[in-house]
Amino acid sequence: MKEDLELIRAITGGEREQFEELMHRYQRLVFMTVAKHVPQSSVEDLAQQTFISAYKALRQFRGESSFAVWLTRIALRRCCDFWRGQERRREINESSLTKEQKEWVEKAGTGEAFAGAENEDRKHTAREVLHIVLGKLPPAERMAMCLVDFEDLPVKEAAEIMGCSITLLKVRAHRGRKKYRKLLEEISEEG
Amino acid sequence: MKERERRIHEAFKNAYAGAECEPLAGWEKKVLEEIEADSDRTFFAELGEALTWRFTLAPSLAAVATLLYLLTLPDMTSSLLGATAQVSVLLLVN
Repeated sequence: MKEDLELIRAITGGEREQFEELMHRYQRLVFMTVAKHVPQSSVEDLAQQTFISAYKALRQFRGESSFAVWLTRIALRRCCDFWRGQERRREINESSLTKEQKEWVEKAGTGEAFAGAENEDRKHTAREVLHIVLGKLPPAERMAMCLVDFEDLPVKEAAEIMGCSITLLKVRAHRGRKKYRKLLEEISEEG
Repeated sequence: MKERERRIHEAFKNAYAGAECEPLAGWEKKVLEEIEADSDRTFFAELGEALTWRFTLAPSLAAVATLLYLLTLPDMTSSLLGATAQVSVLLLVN
């Protein structure tokens, strides 16, 4: 099996059909990365956009980081673009929690919901509640906060991904965090 | 953050880290189509550039060179011969 760099050289040298091999190697990574940041219904589309962007920028890949890291950064940038697009036609997500979701919050609050043995339904509910909460944050603040607090990325890298200054990234993450905590308080009471 | 909220946050972090989405069969079709279209676009763009050079820029340069040549030489016959040679060389080079 060819190494990534070898494969990339072949693709940029004209063997573009080899890109399919690269896609198969990294499809799971891209889908998982994107799934963390955007609604389920947009995951496939953004994963496709990630690979298209990667193909177009492949000549710029110098191998300074691993291909996986390089590709992850592209995927995260596409997610940022997605939320920037949403900001323009943003609809405030006012949906309140269903009975099942409230139950999950109740259990999460007592430390019971994530005891390591959650079934698929509960995991699904957890993601639904998380999406509802994050959906109430302004997209740029949501993305900044997720990259720093959930993804544990260094501020500098998060700023590079979002294409903004470190200061702006910090401001956005801080505002997002503040709103997120307020939302946590609200759902904590609701649950 | 209160203890209860901290726990919910931890559960959220776990839900976030565990977000999964398996690619469905055939998802890569759109990417491959786009790559194909991009390659075609690149090919036609390069062809367009080559044709522009061949049929617009090269003859224009040849015309300017001819004019300059004619202006600098007093003998008309040798000038015309020289100009023709220059145009031919320029067109051949390109």
